[in-house]
Amino acid sequence: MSINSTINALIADVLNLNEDEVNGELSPENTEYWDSMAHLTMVTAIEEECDVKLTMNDVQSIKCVDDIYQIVQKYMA
Amino acid sequence: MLDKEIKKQLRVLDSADALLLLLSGADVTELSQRDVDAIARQYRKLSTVADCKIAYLSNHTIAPLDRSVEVASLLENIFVESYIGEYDQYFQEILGSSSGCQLFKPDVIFLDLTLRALAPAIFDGFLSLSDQQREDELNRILGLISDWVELAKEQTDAVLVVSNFSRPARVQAGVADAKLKLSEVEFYHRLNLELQKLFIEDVRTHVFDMDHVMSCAGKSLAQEPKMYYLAKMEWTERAVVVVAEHLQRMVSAILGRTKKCLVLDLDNTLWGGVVGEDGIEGLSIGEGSPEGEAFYDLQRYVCVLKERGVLLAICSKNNLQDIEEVFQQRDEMVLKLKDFSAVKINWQRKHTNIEEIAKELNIGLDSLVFVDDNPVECELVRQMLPEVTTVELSSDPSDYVSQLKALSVFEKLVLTDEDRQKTLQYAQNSKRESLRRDIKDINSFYESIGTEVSIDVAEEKHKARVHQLFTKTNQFNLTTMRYSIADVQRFIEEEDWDLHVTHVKDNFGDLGVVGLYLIDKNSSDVRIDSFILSCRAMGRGIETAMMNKIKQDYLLNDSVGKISATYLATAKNKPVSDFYGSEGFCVVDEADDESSEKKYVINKQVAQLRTCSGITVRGI
Repeated sequence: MSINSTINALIADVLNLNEDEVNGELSPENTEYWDSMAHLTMVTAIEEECDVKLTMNDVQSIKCVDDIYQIVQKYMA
Repeated sequence: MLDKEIKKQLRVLDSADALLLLLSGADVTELSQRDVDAIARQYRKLSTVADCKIAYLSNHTIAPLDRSVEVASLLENIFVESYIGEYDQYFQEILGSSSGCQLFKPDVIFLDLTLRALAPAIFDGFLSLSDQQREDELNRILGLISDWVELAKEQTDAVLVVSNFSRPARVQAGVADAKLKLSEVEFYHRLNLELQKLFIEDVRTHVFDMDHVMSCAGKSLAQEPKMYYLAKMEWTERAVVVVAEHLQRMVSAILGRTKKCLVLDLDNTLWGGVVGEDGIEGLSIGEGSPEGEAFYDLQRYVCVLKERGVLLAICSKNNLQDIEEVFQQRDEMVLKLKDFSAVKINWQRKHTNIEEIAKELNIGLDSLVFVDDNPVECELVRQMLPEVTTVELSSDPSDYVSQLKALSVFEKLVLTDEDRQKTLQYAQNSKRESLRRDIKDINSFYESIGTEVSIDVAEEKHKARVHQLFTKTNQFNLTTMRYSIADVQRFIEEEDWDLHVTHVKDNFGDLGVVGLYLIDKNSSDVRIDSFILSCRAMGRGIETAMMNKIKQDYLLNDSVGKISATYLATAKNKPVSDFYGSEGFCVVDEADDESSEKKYVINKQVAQLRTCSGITVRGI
């Protein structure tokens, strides 16, 4: 499974979506369950499952799912 | 962890029963926060009647603890509804009559304060304070909490749960802390100890040992600074789970959802090996083998539960004589046969035996916990008696004690003297039972046991026991009003209520406070609001003595014209459905389905005292 599809599965889980509904453009503005608490739950889930540790800045800079792909990519490289 | 298929099904559920059914088939050990969120999301959509409403007040971000407690409680069949107070407004929330907390009308208020915000000088400026300043801070914190508790008691009817303070993973002076005159370690120890002492006699306020809970979670793993700076969250997901588990235990205890009896299998449960195959000497128990030591410790822990007031019973497929020999000949056995209030050793099906145990001890099937190592026996009991909590022991005896300790079903808020004496009382009861067989006529039996009843106005010292009777008595309970400790306080203090407690002694021992009745004098006539007798004291005329006292006090010695009373049917109080009728009351109103509610009245002109053979009543 590619890293992005792992991330998609986690995001779908947190945001109560089907995996195929997750795409790079999803953001708090266009997603019902993406509130500040869900934001942090996603971060913790990704940190655990992808074995990375995001900085406080990373967490604040996430504005959409594309940002998450890029941040995780940065640590995986 | 919930698997995908379960989560998919979860999303389309439409009833609480379906939700419980789905979860009972799922692996719910180690749920992730995402799992908890998914369950809570669905649970909150369903219309359930809350068993317990919890308000959380705090000076840090409490979510997602509310959801975790809801789910942990749901798994114990308890429906919880949550309210999270405005950030850092724990005083405002209880003071304003229109605050969110007041409007929510919580049954329980959980107050959790972090010293980071409450006492920053202590939290990261400890070394710059003089000893006197440290003392002052300690007293200031205690004063603030006791002020809050006093106000909350005055302004709400809720049971209060107040966290103590978690000592940080690292102290500011490092290893030199131990040489400080008033060290940081001592500061937290004293603060928490003083807090505990402050409320030790307070039946409405309970200290939640957050310091211990954080230790269980692992203090360095319980906090993530990033999450505090981003969202004022003090706990990691891992810590939230542990806090929720402990808080759920408190909720069970507050609701009085306490199981009464532990039913144990013998072979490979209380000892290693099978008597019929390995012989008495071949059984593993006590020093000498790792297995024997594990079973020894299990028996020690079962003794601890007994001391906590849990009744013990045996349910085993064996020859009675073999088992008696094991108990006699193996000195290493911690438990003795006399520790068990009911013993079923035969070749009957286990569920039949369990039903008989419930009947013999006069308790409901849902008050029993059955423990067995055999998966087939466990499954059969689960199928036949779903009300019984069945614990299937793992294949490794070294896990058994942990498995029993993990159960939250034996939690109680206070251990009363009655709890500690309970096994003795039940043993005395079986002596009473056996005496009954020799006596032809029931009146001569009552006379032979010399029952002495005293009925007195309830006082402060009765509060804990009275609350226990209100919350735990099911059978001889005419209206099953589950009053809170705050209500009990009101009944004791206010003129409009008469609360009487019944204390019973007989030739075999002291049964303690076993009954109560609550009279409402608000209206022109007098109304019996509650009438309760513990099942241990049923069937000997004590209820008639109590009713005589009511008739005497209000109809014969007072100017009251009539007394009204109500019977409200539940699944368990059928045996007393016509209690008032048998005491001379007339039915005035009966619900159509004849099962739910019956209203009674008795007039001064027809009221007569009834004889109760063999009972000496004091207080009349």
